[in-house]
Amino acid sequence: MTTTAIEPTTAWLLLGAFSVVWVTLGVLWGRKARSLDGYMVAGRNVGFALGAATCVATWITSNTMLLAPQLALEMGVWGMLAYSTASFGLFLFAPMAARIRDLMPNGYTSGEFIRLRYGKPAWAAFLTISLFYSLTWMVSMGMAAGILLEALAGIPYIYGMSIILCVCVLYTLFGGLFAVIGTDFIQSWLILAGIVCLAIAIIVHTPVREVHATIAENRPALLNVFFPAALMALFNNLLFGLGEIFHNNVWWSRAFALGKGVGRRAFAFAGLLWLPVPIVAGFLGLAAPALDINVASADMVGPVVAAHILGTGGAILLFVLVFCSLASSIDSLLAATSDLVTKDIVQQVLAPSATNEQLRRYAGWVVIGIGVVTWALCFRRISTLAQVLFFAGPLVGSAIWPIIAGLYWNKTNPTGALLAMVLGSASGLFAYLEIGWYSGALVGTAVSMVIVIGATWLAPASFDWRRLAGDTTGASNA
Amino acid sequence: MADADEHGPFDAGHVTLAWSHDESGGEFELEESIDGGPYARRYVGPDRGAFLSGNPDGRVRYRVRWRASDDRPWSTWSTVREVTFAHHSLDFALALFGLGGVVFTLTAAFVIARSRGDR
Amino acid sequence: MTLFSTGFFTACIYAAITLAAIGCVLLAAFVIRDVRKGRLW
Repeated sequence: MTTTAIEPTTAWLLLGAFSVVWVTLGVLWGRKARSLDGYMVAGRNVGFALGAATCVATWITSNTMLLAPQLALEMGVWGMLAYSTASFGLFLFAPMAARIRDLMPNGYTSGEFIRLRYGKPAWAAFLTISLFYSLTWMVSMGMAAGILLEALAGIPYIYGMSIILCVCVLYTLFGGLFAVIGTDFIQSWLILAGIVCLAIAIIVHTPVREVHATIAENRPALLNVFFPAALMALFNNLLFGLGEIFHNNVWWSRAFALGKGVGRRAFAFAGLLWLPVPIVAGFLGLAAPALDINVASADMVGPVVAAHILGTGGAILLFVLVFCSLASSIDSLLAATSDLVTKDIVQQVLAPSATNEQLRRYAGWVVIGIGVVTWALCFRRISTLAQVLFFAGPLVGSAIWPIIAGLYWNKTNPTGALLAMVLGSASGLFAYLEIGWYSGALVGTAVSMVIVIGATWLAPASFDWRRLAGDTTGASNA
Repeated sequence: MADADEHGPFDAGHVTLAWSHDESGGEFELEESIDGGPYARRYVGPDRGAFLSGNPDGRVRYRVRWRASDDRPWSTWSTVREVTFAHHSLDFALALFGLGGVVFTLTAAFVIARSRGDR
Repeated sequence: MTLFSTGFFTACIYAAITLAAIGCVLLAAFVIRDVRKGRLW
C-alpha cells in the first residue's frame, strides 16, 4: 500500500479509546484479584461462557487474522483449511483440561505438573522449551503490533508496539487473570462479529461462485487438491499447534481457572468457535484475485481486501479486529508466563519460603519484567527475531507426548520424558534445518512419541497420582 | 526491476516481485510470459510490487514499464526477471502427509481413548 | 490437476460464515445466561 488505509488521527483515537477501556476494566476487575488464587487462576470458578470466550480469544492471534489470508493466497484452499485444523488442539485439550483440574485441584502451572510428575531434570528441559516459546511468541506479537499499526495507519512502529505492550502490561498487572478473561470475552465477540460482517460484505460484493471461477481460470494451482507444499506442511503445522496448546501455561492456567466440570465443555465450544475463523479470514485472501486487487506484499492481503471492499470503514474494522486479537493473546501470555516464572523459578529457586501474599506481589513485578524484556527485544525491529518463533515448532512438538503420557499413564518414567524432550527437540531442529521448515515439528513429535512409548514399555514406573494433588505449596482459599 | 528478497526455490508456486522508479507517482505495467509464450498484462497501477501465487510448474518471465500519467508515453521495458516454478514432488509431499497423519492419529487416539474413563 | 469444485468451495465458505455467526450469538447468549445464574466467574 502506498498510502495508509486509515487516517492517523482516527487510528490514534481508536487506540486511545481501546486503551482506556481495557485499563479501566483491568483496574475494576482487579478488585477481585487481591489473593494469589484470584490473581493467577481467577478464583478457580470461571463459568462456561467466559471460559470458552477466553480460550477462543487467546487462540485467535494476530497470525489468525493476517497469516490465514496470506496462507490462503499462497497455498489456496488447502492453506485455508489447514489453518483451521489448529482448532483440533482446543478439541483435544478439552478432556485434558478436565483431567488436569481433577489431578491438580490446587495447581497453578504446567511447569509444576512436569516437576511433580517427572522431577527436576525434565522440569528444567520443559521450562527451557516453554520460556523460549513464550518469549518468542510475545516478541512476534509485539512486533506484529508495531508493524501493523504502521502499515494500517502510519503510526510509527515504536509507538504502536510500545502502546499495545504497555496497555496489556497495565491491565494484566492490575487485574490478573480476571482482567485477562473479562477483556478476552469482549475481544472475542468483537472479532467473531467483525469477521462475519467482513465476509458478508465480500459475498454481497462478489459471490463465492465468482471467486471460485476467477481462481480456477487465473490461478488454478490454488484450487489444486494435490498441492504439494500445502499437503506436506499440513500435519507439521497441526502438530505445532497441538504442542503449543498442550505444553503452554496459557492453556494450563485456564484449565485451573475454569470451575469444576466446566473445562471440557468450554474448551470444546472454543474449538467450535475458532474452527471457522481461519476459513473466513482465508476467504479474504482468496477473494483478492477475484476482486482484481493487486497485492504488493502477501502479509498485507487481509487489510488490503478489507479496505478495498468497505473503504475506510473496512480498514477500521480490520484495525479493531487485529488490535483485539493482539491484545487478547498478549495479555494471556503475559499472565500465564508470569505465573510460570513466579511459581517455577521465583518460588522454587529464588524464594522458597515466600508467602502467598509475597508471591502475589512478585507476580506483579514479573509481569512488568516480562513486558520490559519483550519491549527491549521488539525495540530494534529485527525481523529475524519473529522468525525465531518457527524454531519453537520442534521444541513444543517434542513436549506433546511427555505431557499426554504423563497425564494418562502412570507407567511413563522421568528418564523417558526427559530424553523425549531433548532428543525430540534436537532431531526436530535438525530436520527443520536439513529437510525444511515443514518437517521440524513433525519429526520432533514423532521422535519424542517413539521414545516415550518405548521407554514406558521397557522400564515401566508406577507413579502415584495423589502426589500431583498433594504438593501444592500455594494451596489457599481465594 | 528488483526481486524482493526471494531467491527461490520457488517450490510453492508463488513469488514476490518488487520494482522501483526514480520519480514518485505514475503507474506501472507488469507483463508476464509463460514458458516462452507471448507477454500478457498482469497488472497496471501505482503499486511497486506484486505477490503472485497459484503458478503451476514452469518458467515465467516478468517485465515492467512506467509512465508518469495516462497522456505520457511508456518507458522502455525493464530487464527481464525469470522465475522457474518447480513444486515439491508430490510423492515426497504425500510421504510427509502420511507420516504426519500417523503421528497425529496416534496422538489424538491416545488422548481420546485414555480420557474416556474419567468422564 | 484435480481442482476443488465450486460446490465444495462454496459450501466451505458458507458453512464457516454460518458457524461463526451462530457462535457469536451463542457466546453472547451463554454469557447472559451465566450472568443471570450468577456463575459468570
